[in-house]
Amino acid sequence: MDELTREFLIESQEGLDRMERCLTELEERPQDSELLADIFRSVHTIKGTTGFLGYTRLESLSHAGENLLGMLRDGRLHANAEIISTLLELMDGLRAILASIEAEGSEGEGDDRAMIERLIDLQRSDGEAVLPQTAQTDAARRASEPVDKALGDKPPGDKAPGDKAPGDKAPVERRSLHAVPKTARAAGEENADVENGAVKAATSAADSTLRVDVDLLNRMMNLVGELVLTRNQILQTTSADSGFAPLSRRLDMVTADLREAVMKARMQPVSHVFSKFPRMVRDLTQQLGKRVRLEMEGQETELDKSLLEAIKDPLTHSVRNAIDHGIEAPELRGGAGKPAEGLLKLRAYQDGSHVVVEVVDDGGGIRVERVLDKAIERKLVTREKAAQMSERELLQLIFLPGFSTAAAITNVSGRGVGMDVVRNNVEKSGGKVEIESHAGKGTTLRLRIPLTLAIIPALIVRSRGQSFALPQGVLHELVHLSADQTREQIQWLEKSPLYRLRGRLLPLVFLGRMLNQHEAAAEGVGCYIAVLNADGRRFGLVVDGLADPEEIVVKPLSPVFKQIGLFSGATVMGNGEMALILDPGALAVRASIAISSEDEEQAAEQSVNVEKTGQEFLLVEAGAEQMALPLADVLRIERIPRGRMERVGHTAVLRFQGMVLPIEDRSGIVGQKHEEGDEMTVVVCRDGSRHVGLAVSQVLDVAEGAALVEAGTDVVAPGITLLKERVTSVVDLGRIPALPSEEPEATLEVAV
Amino acid sequence: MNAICEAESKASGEAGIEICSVRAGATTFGVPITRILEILGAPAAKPVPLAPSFIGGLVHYRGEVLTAVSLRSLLDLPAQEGASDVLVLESPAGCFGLMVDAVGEVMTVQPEWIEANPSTLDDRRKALFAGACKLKDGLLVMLDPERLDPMRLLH
Repeated sequence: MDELTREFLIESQEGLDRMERCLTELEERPQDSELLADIFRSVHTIKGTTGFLGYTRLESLSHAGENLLGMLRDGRLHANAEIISTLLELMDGLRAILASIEAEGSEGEGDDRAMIERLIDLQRSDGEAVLPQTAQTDAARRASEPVDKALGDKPPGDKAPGDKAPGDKAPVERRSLHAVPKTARAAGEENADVENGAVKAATSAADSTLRVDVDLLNRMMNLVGELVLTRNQILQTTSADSGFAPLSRRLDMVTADLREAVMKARMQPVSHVFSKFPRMVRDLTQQLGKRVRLEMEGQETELDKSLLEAIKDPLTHSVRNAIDHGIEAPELRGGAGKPAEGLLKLRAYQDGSHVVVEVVDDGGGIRVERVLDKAIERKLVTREKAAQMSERELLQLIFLPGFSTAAAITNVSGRGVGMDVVRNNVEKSGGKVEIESHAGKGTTLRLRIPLTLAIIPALIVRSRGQSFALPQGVLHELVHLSADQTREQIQWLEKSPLYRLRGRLLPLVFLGRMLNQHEAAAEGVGCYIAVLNADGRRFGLVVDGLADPEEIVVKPLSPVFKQIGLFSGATVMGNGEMALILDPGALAVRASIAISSEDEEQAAEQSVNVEKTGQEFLLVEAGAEQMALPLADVLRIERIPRGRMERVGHTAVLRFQGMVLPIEDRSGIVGQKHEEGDEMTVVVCRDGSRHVGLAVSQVLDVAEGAALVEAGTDVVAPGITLLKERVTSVVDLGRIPALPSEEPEATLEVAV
Repeated sequence: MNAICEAESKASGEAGIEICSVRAGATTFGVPITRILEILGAPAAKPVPLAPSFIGGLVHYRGEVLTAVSLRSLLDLPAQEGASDVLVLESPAGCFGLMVDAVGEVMTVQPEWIEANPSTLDDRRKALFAGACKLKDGLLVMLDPERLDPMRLLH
């Protein structure tokens, strides 16, 4: 059974179920026009599809039923018990045929003439009083027509004029799918095969799947989100009580599984959206006289249902654009030394917590000069301003509303709507649009969509006593400045605060000031700079403090706050406190941070990775000594109250989220005298699968280490590296003793 | 007035409007209880920087983030020391919160006790209040959740 038939069966059975419900209700409220319209639609849809699929028995039966229902709906007939029971019988008849199609693939033998006669009779018998003569005969004629047709075994689908079913459209589109380029078709069939396989295992296609209201799923998602929060709160409160630990761990696991399952229920493969492109591409290329081969990859990639809906239009726009503006006419392509047939590639893949959908064409690419000319012509940008823009910024101009570079306005695109719509739709769902173009070689449009709308990882930052969530996707690094450093290292150019991050100036935005928070910042505690890159805008967000990163459930904000523009939502954190979610892009725009050019960005990157060959180290100071930790092994840097440090034998340990972390303390920092409320710094590192902590006095920097060769040999000296022109010892994490340790003293000395 | 008082004393048996009295500053207000979804006792409200002044903050309500309108700010009263109660109100545009000093009692009033806003009120209060209700021991300002909807207040 092909997918189309299967879908038809599911739909029809659903329609009949609905019809049955409505019919029984109709007995109580025979005048209810909405009920009648509903029943009419169910039968109408079946009729429309059957004609196309060639099921003549179904078609003639449903046609006769439809005529009767049409009269009921239009008020030309009144529903009585006889009509309703006949309709119910009709329904049973339709069901029997559907069952036969499902079981044997054919409608089976049967005589429907008696049923059809009864349906026609009913139209006459009751209608006489209300029915004008012409309408009656007309209806009767129309009703008998398909019967003759069916009996004469005429080809189906040849319906009476004015009898266009809305349901007709979909199957027509589907059928023409089979006339489209080969790769796409192969992919489509493969997909259908997979699904068919699943169906064979199930007893009935309609029984094995269930259509669920998206609203219900949304609600479930919401509740699961709540459960996650409640779980977080329970985990926090029970960490003190050991008896609860196993229970709360189980709760933790079950919640995680449940969340996954609900999220899974909302996932659909992108093939749902991709599948309409082969036909679109075929139509467009014919219309435009181009030759385009469509390749699709990663159709099985799954995406949240609502996000899938959200990218449908942007993708359609992008594909249109690629064919209309991107891929050149065959003769032009020949001249440029490319094959006459252009290539359009749709590619979907998962990248971390995002799904990336790419629309790649090998066309002419976007010529920046033309973009600029057009932008100036459309008064989207002034010539003076444009002169200062980088190539990358210029390319971004195509996302402005009212921009179009098409030389001629065609039916397909070039009416000044397009890329801005694409960007808006994608950004609305929390995604990003990237464009990459090389003149003469082609354009890649990349839609980066979060896997799910509902939950995102975020860093909780604090500003003037309030918590805010900062989406981690934009976060590059964190810099902590002590009170003294804040005074010395934040520099002002007139009114613009700047920070020298590895020798490059980073514009700063003070969150508290931006949000007009009047509460004074606590004195003498320093601050954190969150280095962000929001759509190419690099800046440092200065906040008062940091809390743990959290997976947050995004809640929409009331439209009342829309005009503020700096928040993209709100969330309830694990501790029950609410936090507003910051929109880094909007913060950057509000602070007039420009998009940095690619060169600048690369330079900024390079200042971190001078050379890819060397290893990066975290330079720390423990006691009087400087040490290096391989950056790849560093998980996080924690500031913890000294009072939380405990001891097992001679080893310092830290209880952390119900687990215990051994602390390497080679300089005796843990043992130092301290006052109530003092804090200390612990670098948490990964050693194989275990985690270990390293007590340090201070974290100094991140730097590139260079290997040192021992004099007189060509052996790289182990355990040391050249860091910032100083020979620095590298901490060997493997030698930090495991817990519980029998002889901690023995190992403490050697780790260098 | 006497008739009214008598009416009130036997009102419990008759059909009337059930209202919940709330206080903001020195004034007592009445909200029809059919429009109240829930009363949250002193929830933790989260202020929203840069928000319109009449917004009291965000309140966590059954897994949703509820926008609360502060009755005090609407009346240009200084913010209350300590926690406020929040009524969860239903309006055509969705739910929102109304932050009040304290929630009083539920009482039944008769429609005829309610008079239109006195003409001497300032325009702003005229727009916010839905009439005055005469009780035997004073007056109560009727509130209509629809008029307090944050989206409406914004315009």
